[in-house]
Amino acid sequence: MLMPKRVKYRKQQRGRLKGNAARGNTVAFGDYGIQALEHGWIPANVIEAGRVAAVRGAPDGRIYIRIFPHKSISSTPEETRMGTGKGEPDYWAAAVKPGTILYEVGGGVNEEQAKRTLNKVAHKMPIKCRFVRRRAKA
Amino acid sequence: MEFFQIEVTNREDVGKGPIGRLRRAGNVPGNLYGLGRPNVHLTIPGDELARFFDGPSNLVELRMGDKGRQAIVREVQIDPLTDEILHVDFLRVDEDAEIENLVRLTYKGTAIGTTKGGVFQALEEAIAIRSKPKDLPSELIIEIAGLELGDGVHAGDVELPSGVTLVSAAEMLLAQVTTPKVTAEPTEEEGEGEAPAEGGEAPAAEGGDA
Repeated sequence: MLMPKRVKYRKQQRGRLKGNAARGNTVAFGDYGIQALEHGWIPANVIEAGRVAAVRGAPDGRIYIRIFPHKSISSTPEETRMGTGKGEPDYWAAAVKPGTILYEVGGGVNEEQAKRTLNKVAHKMPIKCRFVRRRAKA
Repeated sequence: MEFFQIEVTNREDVGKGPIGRLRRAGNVPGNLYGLGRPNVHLTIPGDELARFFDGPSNLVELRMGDKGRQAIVREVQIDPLTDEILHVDFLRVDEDAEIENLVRLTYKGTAIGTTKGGVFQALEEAIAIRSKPKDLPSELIIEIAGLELGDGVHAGDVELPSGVTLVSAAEMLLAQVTTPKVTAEPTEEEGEGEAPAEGGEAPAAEGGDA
């Protein structure tokens, strides 16, 4: 699973996800991709599940994961009394804003196969997504 | 290529308030600049702009009253979420002067190499050319049917219409048919991926039984 190699601080505040993605919002490496339509945290294990689904759907294609779980999410153990402080880091997640491209496929994958593959990936995501194509430069 | 005519109006208002109202009314803000003359802010009707982008031409004649100014589209800003056109930049062109522009490439056919296990990869989607505005092609069609495994198409191989010269480097690789080296890699990765997937399923199944 993806996670940072080293971090300065183990625990983070929750933060807010306001507005749309201003970067990482176009298909840049592959030919097709899935784009987030909502904001949310995508855990590292879900990113991995999406990757496995993509590799199985397009074994001859190239898969690009465009998000990374930089955010540590802490949780408090069950039956803990009030006042014991912030919980320990539980998992890593990517904070995603609407518009972010989550995965891309390319390298000889046709549109039909890409749609089928990315649909399976989108079903694993905790947010609504849509299929997008690379935009022509000219 | 023909000049597509669009009726535009001069725009005095700038800033996000007036621009927001303009967009809500179905118009698109734009700019016209080039040829050493001052830039002009424009209001363009959204439906006419959509018809222009649906057509093959990249050349436009912006009609302001009885005056017409010939231009090409230099940049289009599109909302990544809603796919709405947010803003268009037009560059003034002189009918007799050559201009540099990017032209879209269309790959036609099925490469022979793909039937022998190769994968066709389009590396570039546009190349830079120089021509007079009327000679500017809307797209360049590249026949890829003859490409064998390991073959590629370079910018220098593209047949250009008369009056058009290539600006991109002739040795620039546009597309190729490669042997799929990645085939072995994903199966390996798939194996790695299976373990956590199965591990993840097991506790859930136990939980269901309990």
